[in-house]
Amino acid sequence: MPLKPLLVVKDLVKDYSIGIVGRKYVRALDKVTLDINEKEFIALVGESGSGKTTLARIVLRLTPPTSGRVLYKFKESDDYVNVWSMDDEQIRRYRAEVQGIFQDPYTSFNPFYKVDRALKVAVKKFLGEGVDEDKVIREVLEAVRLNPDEVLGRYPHQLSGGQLQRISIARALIPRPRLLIADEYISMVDMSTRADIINLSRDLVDKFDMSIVMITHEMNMALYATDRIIVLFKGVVVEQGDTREILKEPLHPYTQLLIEALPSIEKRERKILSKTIEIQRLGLHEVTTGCPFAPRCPYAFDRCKSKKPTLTNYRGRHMVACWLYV
Amino acid sequence: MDYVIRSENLRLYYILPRGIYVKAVDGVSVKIPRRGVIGLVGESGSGKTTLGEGLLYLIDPPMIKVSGKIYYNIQGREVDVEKIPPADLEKLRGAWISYIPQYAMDALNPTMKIGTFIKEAARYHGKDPDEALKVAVDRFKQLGLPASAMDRYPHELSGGMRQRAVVVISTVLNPKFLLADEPVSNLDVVQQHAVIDFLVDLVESGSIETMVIITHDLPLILEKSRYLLIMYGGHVVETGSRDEIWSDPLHPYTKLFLESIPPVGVRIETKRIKGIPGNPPDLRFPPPGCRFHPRCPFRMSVCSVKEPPEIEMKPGRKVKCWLHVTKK
Repeated sequence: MPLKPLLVVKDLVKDYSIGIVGRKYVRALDKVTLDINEKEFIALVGESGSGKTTLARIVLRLTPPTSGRVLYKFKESDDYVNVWSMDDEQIRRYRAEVQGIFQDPYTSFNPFYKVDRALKVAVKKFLGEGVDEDKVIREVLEAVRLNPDEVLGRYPHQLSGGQLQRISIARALIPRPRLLIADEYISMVDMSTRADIINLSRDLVDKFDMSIVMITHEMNMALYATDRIIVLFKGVVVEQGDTREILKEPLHPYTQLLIEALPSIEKRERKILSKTIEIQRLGLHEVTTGCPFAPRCPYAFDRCKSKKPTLTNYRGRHMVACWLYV
Repeated sequence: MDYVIRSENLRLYYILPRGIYVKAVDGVSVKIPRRGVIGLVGESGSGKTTLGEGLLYLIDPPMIKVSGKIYYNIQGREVDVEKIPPADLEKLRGAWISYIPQYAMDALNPTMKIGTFIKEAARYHGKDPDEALKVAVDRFKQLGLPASAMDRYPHELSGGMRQRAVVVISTVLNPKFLLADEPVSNLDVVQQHAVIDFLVDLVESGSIETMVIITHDLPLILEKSRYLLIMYGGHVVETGSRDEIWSDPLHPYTKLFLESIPPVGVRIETKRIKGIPGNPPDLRFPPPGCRFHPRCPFRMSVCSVKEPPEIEMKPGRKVKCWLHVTKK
């Protein structure tokens, strides 16, 4: 029997209204369905406007969805609970088991307090009184490969972005979470130290039996270390599958474009990218009711513009929402 | 080596309260070679933007020039920037030299329509305003901006459109030298390539002679440039052609930086990519000796005591590292 996923997102829709009086809506998420398994390192790849942050916020109970469900299976339980209709006790447990990490580490910490305080607050909140606070803090700092003596007693501005982001991760580890949702947590870290944060994430998944959803626009980091990639474009999951499958055979033209666009020292042909630039340059893209990528897609045909493709199995767990594969 | 701009022992500091200085550029002697796309690469806090502004002589408090000289090589004559009368320097900017600042999308005059601004700028530099507008409309098209954007005020355009508009405005007078500071960092991948390729085309077609791109994005600049200057901790630690730096990096920082980026297709199970351990220096209190020594796996005893000299391996190929002192 296949393992039951840890968290299930089903037909999630989020509309934002724009304007104060007008009834105009922007659909940030359009029937997003996905699941997150135990001990899985997932990349949710998308650019700005893809809805990736909205999705994270709904899963973390920070923004309510318009419709659809987020279902979570608690530790030592077989049943799923809708994240948005939990009772207080369930919310408390959920907040411990599912942790979030955000993009800008400098705004995640109060600049007037030493970083120790944020860690101590988390220990008290999640583990209660009577635990050896210092021991827990040292343990989590060592788990993220920081030397506690180098960071404790410091203010946020005295630490680098990379150090602070590791402290964010350390803080998230305090309640021994089963799921970490990390929203663009490497984009403000220096490029030369990003690989270490990714390596650390990989090790946390492998050694601490937790799952990490890395929300990112950086395809190369996703390809390097994750188990599975979910590609989001304008609020729609356009492709998902095992990372190695996607690396070998990206199916959706948008996924292909993201991989093509990665810099490379050798001259390489960028078929889709150059055609997309051309389409944009000529101002050919029109708003359609079909596939959200159709206006930029070099392969788009009539059906793409009028009808939305649904996410369907291609091979094994590899799924794509594209009329080319139907 | 033929060059456009060079600096000599340039020191640019920022003044903080209580007499503390941020030594953002601390003794930099560089030559920006003429022709082609040049990358000025560094991570946050390396001093790359400060050096860029210094080379353009855009030095305003709290930034101060503590020492050094900046020379422009204009039509075969070397001119000390400080000896150019301010009015002439003003005329050089825009026509001979142009700048796309970081966060350029917020750099437009909010009270002027885009088209009006372009015409005014052309008039100021003694160029035909209608001709400039024609060039701009054509370049707008190349970047997928409608001609109607000319009749818009900056706030009426989206961030991505403003960014592209600034790129066109900064290049419309075909400057000999363009400095672009992170010109694509806030754009989506398609726009990033569209804008960079647009700029590279202007250089390759000869409309712009030399373009320096300031960036933290080493892979991107490796793809697009022919020559690189690598900055670390307020120093230029290595310069050389793109191919030399890619195939034979001389400075440990360059080498480790190149190794820290996973190539496409490499998986963590087969090859674990290592980041550079440690943290960049605090430029208020930089470490003695080489600024990279606290993180350098090849450090020797001299490295923590004495600042390494700049060693010129051959024209244009320089490294600031003790490892190469005896090898010369």
